[in-house]
Amino acid sequence: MISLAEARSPARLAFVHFLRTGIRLPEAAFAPLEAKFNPYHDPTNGQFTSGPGGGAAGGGDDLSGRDVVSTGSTSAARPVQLAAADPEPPRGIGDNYGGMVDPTTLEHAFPGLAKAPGGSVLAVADGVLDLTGPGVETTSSLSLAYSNALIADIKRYDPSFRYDSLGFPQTLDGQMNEIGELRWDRAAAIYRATGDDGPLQVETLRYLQAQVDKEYDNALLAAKAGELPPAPTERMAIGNYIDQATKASFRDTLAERSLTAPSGQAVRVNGREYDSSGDDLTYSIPDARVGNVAYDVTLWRKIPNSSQIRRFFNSDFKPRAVAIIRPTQLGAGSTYIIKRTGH
Amino acid sequence: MPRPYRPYICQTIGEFNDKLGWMMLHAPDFSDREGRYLDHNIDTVFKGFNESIDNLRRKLGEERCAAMRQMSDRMQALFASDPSGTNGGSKAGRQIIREMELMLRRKRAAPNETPPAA
Repeated sequence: MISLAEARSPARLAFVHFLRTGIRLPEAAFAPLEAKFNPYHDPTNGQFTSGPGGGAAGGGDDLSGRDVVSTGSTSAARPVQLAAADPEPPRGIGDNYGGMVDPTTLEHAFPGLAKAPGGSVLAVADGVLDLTGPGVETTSSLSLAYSNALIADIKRYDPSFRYDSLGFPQTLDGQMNEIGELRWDRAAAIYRATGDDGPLQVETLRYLQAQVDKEYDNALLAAKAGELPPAPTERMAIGNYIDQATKASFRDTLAERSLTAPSGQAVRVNGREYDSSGDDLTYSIPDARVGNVAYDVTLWRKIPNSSQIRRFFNSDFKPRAVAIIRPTQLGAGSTYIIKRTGH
Repeated sequence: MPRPYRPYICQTIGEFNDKLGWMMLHAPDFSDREGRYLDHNIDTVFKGFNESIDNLRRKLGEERCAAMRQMSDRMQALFASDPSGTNGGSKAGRQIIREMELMLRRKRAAPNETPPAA
């Protein structure tokens, strides 16, 4: 277990930030803060009082309960909420990676999902779907630590797991690929050993998003070269091929980890999900299903009240949520989750 | 660490149709850009593709299966001759994918119809 001082080092905090958000920031951005003493701040009630001569303590912003501080290395002041006490180190794999940086449930990936009212549409948290981040020199040791912690975690569930390695990858892409593969391996090991499909639901989300983004680029290139059939429209052709290619790749990945499921099991690609509630047996076909979550790969935004989404929710497995996965190239909030009404 | 490439072998016509979509978007070089696999190349991709065709022999029917195997061989040769998509081989190969898709669609619409020659 590392010390709290090591846990809060700028390098570690920079790494944690990129795992959470996918955004690269220099270590200087996480340097210790210098708190300025404000003689007009009453720590007993957190309020600011006017100094001599009257007037407001600050500008138009409500700064009650906050101290304005500046960092030791940048000139821009930014308001922060000073914690009353040092927070507990995050729990999770090893001792240092909690749910915030190592999402293993959809609730980690979509903050607010657990408490949101039924029918809510929630965006995915920044960076959950993307493991790219800062430069190699900043994160190699931390990536290696994370990778080793994942391997140890996998072996807890599958003692026979063997990770043959030619050495830790030297490039950032290689490191992130390895971490991504190990996260998949861990999710599969947990599912096979315990039936817990939470990590598998998260990795499915990540994987499908990465594939959709890649296939979107491939489809645009093929369309530009005039090699995709234009029927019925080019956009529909692009959407159809992305859908097909993503499902085919997903089957490959599931097969690699012995997760291909015959009909009736809870990890499925393009399987019929029946609705026996009415007089006639009907069905819908989500692109993927992991446990009680359905996934739909699409170019189009789909609303909770659309007939397709309602059919997913009406199916016998009663999904608690439907994840709509669209290319990130389409803009912010492209991918989102729709929560089941009344859940 | 890259792992061996072991593609999923399609069990249904629908899964094979999805595979055709994957082939359409990954042609002509079928390279493994992320370096996930040790041995992912046009030869291993088509080996898996042909295994899927063979696995679906009963569902496709003997004639359709034989036709598709021939089409697959032609497709592989065309893509191999044009890995950068510059001399028309890639376009011709994708046209064969399109023909296979139409064969599957016709089979669904008229399961007992005799398939056209490859």
